[in-house]
Amino acid sequence: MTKKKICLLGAPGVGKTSLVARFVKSIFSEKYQASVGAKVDKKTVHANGGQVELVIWDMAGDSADRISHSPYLRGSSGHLVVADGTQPETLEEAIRVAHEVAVNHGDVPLVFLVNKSDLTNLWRVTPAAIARLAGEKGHAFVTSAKSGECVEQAFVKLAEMMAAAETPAANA
Amino acid sequence: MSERPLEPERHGGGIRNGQPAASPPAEDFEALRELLLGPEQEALRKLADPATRLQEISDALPEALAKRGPHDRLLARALRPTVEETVSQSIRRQPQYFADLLAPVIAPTIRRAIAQAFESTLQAIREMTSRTFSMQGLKWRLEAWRSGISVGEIALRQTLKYRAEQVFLIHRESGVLLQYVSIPGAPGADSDMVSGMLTAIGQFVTDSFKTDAGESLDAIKVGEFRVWMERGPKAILAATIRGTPAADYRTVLQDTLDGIHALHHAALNRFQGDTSAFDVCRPELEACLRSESSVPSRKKLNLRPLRWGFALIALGYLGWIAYAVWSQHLERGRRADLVKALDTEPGIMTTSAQLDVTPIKIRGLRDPLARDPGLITRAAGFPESAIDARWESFYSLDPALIERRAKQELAAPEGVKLQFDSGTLRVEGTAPHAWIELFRRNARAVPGIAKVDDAKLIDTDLLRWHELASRVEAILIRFDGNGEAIGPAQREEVEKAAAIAREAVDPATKLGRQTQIEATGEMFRASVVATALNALDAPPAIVRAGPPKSGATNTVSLRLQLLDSARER
Ligand SMILES: Nc1nc2c(ncn2[C@@H]2O[C@H](COP(=O)(O)OP(=O)(O)OP(=O)(O)O)[C@@H](O)[C@H]2O)c(=O)[nH]1
Ligand SMILES: [Mg+2]
Repeated sequence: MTKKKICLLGAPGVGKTSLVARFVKSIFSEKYQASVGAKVDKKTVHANGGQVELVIWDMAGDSADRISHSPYLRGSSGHLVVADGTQPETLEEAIRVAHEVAVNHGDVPLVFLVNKSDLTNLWRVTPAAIARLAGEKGHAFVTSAKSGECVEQAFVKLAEMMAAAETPAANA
Repeated sequence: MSERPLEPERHGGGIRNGQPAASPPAEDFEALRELLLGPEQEALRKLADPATRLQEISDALPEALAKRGPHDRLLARALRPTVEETVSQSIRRQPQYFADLLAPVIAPTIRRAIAQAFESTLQAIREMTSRTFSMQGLKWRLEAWRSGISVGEIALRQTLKYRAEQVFLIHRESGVLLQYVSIPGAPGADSDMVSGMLTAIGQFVTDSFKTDAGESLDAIKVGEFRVWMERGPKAILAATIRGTPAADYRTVLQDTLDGIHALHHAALNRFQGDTSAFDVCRPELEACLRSESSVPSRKKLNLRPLRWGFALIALGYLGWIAYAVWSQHLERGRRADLVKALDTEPGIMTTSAQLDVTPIKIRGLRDPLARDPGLITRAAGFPESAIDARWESFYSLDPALIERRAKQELAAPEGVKLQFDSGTLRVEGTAPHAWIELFRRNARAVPGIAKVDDAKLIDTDLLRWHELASRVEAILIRFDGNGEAIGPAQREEVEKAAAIAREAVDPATKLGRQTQIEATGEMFRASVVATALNALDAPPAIVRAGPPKSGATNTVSLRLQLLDSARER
């Protein structure tokens, strides 16, 4: 079994914990409890014709600078950087996170998630802004932890990218 | 290579000389050979030259070794003896040099190991002392008392009891679980998540407290559980342990982790998520699932309920013993009291008593006049069957018994009081002379009587005689004027005296004496009275000439006399 550590990063309250809960346990709660430190969870997905066990580190939301210096990022094989579609500034923050993490921890596969797509009334980011995110690293998903929209796809996408990124030596 | 282009020319030149047929065959052959094999021979000559060969090998060697590649075990195997020999020779020749070289590498590890050992010992001591004054300590003391082992040893055994239930081999950097082993029924949180969280906690601690590089979280304690973590450069070995691990368990973890690093160095270095490379580590990890029990080498026997059972039985037994001892104590007291009661009873004396058997065995002496011992034992609450008593008869010198015996043997009549006090039997009251005689003869024969005091004993026979005698003495026989014969008046008095004197015969006889009447007065008149008395049925009368009691010459007085039997005889 291949196991990969991945991290959920992003500003506070954007829905990282909710996304993990949706993905791992298929549940959702409106209640907001700010995360502290890191919380580890896991789920197995199919990617590139094989099984990958994702060891998911749900980290506390913080600024790009602080996140990129967190010890919890060590040994991570991929990142899910989460933004909130109802708060445009979290998209800017997401880009900063992606950059700084790449600087401090190396360039590993990364996927952006613009979350809370179910809140259509409050939605304040344009398709262009999302496209810009996608342009940064190649992949951005519009997700909802509440409805479950695109959540699984985002995780699987990251798993596939990580499988593809494995150095040949690892298969020896 | 550079010589090759020249060869055709020389070749061609040789042919153009045009002397092949003219030359002698041997020379020709030599020339031909030179012509055909010249370059090869040159090469062979070079090969045979040691200096050239050395130069060539030394040029090719590094490249050749590099080409064999790092994975070639053949080369390593071939070189190993030489390398080992070389290294060992070098170390033997220059130990200090190597020591200096290795010190920076080894010293921190050694320092850490020593610190670890100290910490473990301290911890054991701390735990031991902290439990000494607790409920636990009390339990140990009880256990020590029960088993006869010193409290210290019990404490040590208890303190060292542990069981490692889960062992995690964790990729240090990512916290990904590389391998996991556990005993059956180990607590069930997901091992991957535990592995991640342990790593996260470790990173959090190191990060938060900004400790020196060497220090890190290496133990977590939750209630009865401990998590011990050993960190290597690439991997973490964590064990969840129930109880307090022995100090050397840390070393077990260290050694295991060191071994894994040595053996799987490459796999750890290039780890990208494929954990199957570490399946081979399972035996080493399983070897860490140790347990140490206070009862050596007894298989997975859960001793807790057993121990409690023992304790309960022991407690019950103790209670029973306490009760038995107490009631036995009470019973012994009761039995001793009985013996005391028997001993204080006049006329009873125990010579031996066996109180710890049932029925109680009592041997002793009993005066026949003493109270029935059965009465005493029954009064003390012992039924007949509870006592096996045998009594020998004896004369008790107890005053009460002496007195009782005196009364019984001397058959004192009514009106006589017998009293014994410090060796003397005092008798008082009135008794017939016969009994008094008997008493005087027999009293001293009664055991225990040394003296008899009968000063206050009155002889009823003597008393009666004296009474009669005084009545006789009261009678005066008076003659009128110068009359010398018995007239009717005198006769009446004489008869009265005779009657009284006759009565006195009985008491006198009882006293063993005889009685006689003495008539005193003027000779003739006294003789007349005596004759008159003797004529009557009365004790004999004698005459005594002399003045009569009243003093008047014409009277005769009478006196009753008691005669000694002996003298009479
Ligand atoms: N409607 C809606 N609400 C969401 C969604 N995702 C998260 N929320 C809500 O947003 C709040 C914050 O969610 P969390 O998942 O705790 O956010 P977080 O990113 O983990 O926050 P931190 O741990 O503080 O960084 C909660 O009240 C969630 O219910 C979503 O997709 N739709
Ligand atoms: Mg959270």
